[in-house]
Amino acid sequence: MDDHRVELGDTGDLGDGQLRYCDIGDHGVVVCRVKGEVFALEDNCSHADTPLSQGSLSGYMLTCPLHGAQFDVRDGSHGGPPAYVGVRTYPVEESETGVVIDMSAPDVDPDDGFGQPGGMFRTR
Amino acid sequence: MTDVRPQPTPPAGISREKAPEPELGDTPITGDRYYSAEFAAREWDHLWTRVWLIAGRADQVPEPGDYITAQIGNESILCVRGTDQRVRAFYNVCQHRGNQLVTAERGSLAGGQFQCAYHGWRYDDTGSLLWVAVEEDFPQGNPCGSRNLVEIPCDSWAGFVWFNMDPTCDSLADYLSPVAEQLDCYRMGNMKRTHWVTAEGDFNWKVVQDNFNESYHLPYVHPQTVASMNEHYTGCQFDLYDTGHCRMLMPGGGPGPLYRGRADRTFKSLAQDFEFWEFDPEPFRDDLQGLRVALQQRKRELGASKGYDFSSYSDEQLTDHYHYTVFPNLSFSMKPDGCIFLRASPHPDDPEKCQFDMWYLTLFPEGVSEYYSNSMRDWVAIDHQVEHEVGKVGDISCGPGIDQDVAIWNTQHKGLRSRGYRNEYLAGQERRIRFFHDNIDRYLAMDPT
Repeated sequence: MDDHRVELGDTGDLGDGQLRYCDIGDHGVVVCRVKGEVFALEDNCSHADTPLSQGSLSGYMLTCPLHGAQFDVRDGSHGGPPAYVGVRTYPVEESETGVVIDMSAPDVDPDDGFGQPGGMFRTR
Repeated sequence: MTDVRPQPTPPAGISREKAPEPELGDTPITGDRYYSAEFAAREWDHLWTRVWLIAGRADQVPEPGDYITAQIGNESILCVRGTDQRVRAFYNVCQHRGNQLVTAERGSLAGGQFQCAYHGWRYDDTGSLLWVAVEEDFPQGNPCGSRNLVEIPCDSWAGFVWFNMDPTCDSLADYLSPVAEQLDCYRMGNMKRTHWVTAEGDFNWKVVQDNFNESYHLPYVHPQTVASMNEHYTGCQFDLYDTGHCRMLMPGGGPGPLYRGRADRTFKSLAQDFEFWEFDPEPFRDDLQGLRVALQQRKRELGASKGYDFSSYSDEQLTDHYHYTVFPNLSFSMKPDGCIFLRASPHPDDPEKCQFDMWYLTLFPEGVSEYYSNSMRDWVAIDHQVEHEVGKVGDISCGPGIDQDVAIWNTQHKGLRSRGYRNEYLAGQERRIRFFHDNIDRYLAMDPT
């Protein structure tokens, strides 16, 4: 298997709306299931580096427990302040044998137009 | 308290003694306080005309005959240094028929007198009327010596020139107590103003002072700070003094115990500090809370070699944020090597606008004439006469941290206008806002000046 593809094992017991932490990579990976589909994100809030796996999931939005920053698990995009940058997501392949993620995904582009005065406090 | 010359070194360190908590009022902080012309008029009659206000820096008027003018609401105040070295303040209005006497922000008499542009009446640096044209033609008699400029109380503290429009006011020392005694150790009289920005904003002046009277907003408006200061209410100390002034002591030099982020985020946040102080943070990678005291010790060790005299500071003052709000409209945010001075003043005729001032005062290390100010992320020079940048909010910068505050004030004021805003619901750590409005009400209840 190529170096960037990492097996996360069996996620059959990961129910809809649940989060799981996997100790991989620099900051870990948070895995979740929404409407049957599995998503994987870097387990690190872009605001204050808090583990998102300790947060809460509602629909596709994962909320950080510390200051409430929100991220869409489908693409890692943030839901406005206090986050100004999204978090990295990893393509997921789920099969009968388990889930594999591709950790060669590029890092998040920090310039998403929300970091400038005036644009800073727009919310989605 | 007049301090024309630099201050001698006072005893070391600001006491952290906790002030007794005052009893707080419960008058709702309603929106009309921020947009009603009637409320603004009451503030003028009862508040602005009886408090001590700052005209400028004493080093703007170093020699006899030097003068500055300062604006507060619709008033212009003229401050001039006399041949006796005293700085005096006057209403900037000719006593003939009321023309504004001086229109420049700053100047020097150079041995001459103030001369009104309208009819030539001349006044000296004590405000005495010295000469009028055709003095014999006044049916009430020659006005010289009697129709003098109207003088108001004037004094100096911390290198600032202060004035008060109430001739019966308390002394500046009494007014500023206990804040002045605490801040004396910073020797602001020896600091140079290296940034001077005035921005007109579309928000009431109290939106600004409310903001600097709480730190609840820090993780949201200043996200870059969470890695390097303990902004949580359990880590800060708040003191509210019965003169109406407050302080907040917030630990810096590293995050608080509730921070769960990476050490790299903290190291990056404090990188300039670590580099300047030749401090290696690696041993604290798994003990970020240990950084603060270690950094204090390092600054103590190297301070003198870098041209600083830290002998008047406590160890906490070397890393922590000592933030003072002086009633009604000033904030002093103190660093060991400088001060961010923030002030919002009422617009002359629109309560939904204000003039916001950001000054940065730099304490240059001994023997250093150019200095990189970490707080402003800018090089500053000791002998450069800083230019006054004037503009509108959004067009000019008030420094990287303050720009973040400024950006939220527009939406805050708009929300206060809404029928959907009834009154505040404050966290305990926001009680300085409650106290600020209680003190405004205390002044509004006094007889007008």
